[in-house]
Amino acid sequence: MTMTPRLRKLALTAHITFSVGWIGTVIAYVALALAAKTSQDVQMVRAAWIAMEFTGWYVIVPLSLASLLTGIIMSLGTSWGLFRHYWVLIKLLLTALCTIVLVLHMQQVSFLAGVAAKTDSADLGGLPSELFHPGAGLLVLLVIVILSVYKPRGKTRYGWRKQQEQLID
Amino acid sequence: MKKISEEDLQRPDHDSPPRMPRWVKVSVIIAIVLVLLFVSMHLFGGHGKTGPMHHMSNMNEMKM
Repeated sequence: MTMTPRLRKLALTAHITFSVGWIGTVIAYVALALAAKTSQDVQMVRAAWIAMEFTGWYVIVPLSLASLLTGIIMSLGTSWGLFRHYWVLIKLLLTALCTIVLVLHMQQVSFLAGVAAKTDSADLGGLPSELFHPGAGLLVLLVIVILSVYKPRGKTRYGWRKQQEQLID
Repeated sequence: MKKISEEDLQRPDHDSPPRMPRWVKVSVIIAIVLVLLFVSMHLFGGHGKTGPMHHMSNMNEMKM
C-alpha cells in the first residue's frame, strides 16, 4: 500500500515533528537531571525531580510513541518498507528499544520523584544521579538521526526477494 | 580485471541475495561490545548504578 504524495508529506511532517520534539525534550530533561544532581538548593532538587516526572510521562513518552507509530506508518506507506532496508530496520529496532527502556525507566523516576517530594532536605543528597539514561538515550537518538539523513545502502534478504518478485511481475 | 566493489554486491540484478553491508556488520559488532561492556560492568564492576536490578534494589532500600 503506497500513500499518495500529499498524505506522504503529511505523515513525514508529523514524523519529523514528533521525533525532533522527542530529542528536544530529552535535552531539556538532561538539564533538569543536571540541576537535580548539582544544585545545593533543596527546593530546586525537589522541583527538578517533579519536573522530570511530568516531562517524562506527559511529553517524552507520548512523543516517543508518536514517533514510533508515524515511523511505522511512513515505512509501510512508502516504497522503503519496514524490513526491506537495513537502515530502516535498525532505526525501527533502536526506536522500539528506546521507547521500551524509557517507559520502564519512568516508573523508577516516578518513584524517586515521590521520594524527593516527601524526604527531609538532609536526605535528598542520597537520591541517585539521573544522567545515564537520558544521556545514553540521546546518543541512540543521534544515531537514529544519522541513519535517517544518510540512509546507508543495503537491502535485506526480504527486501531483495520482494524486489525480485516485482521485477518478475 | 575490474575488482568487485561493495556496491556491485548490492546490485539487485544478481541471482543470489546481496551480502550484508559492511556498515551493518560493524554496527552489530559495536552493539555487541557495548552490551557486553554494560553487562560486565554490572556483574563485576562497582559502577553498576543503572539497569533494572539496580532499580529494584534502590526502590526496596528506600521503602525500608
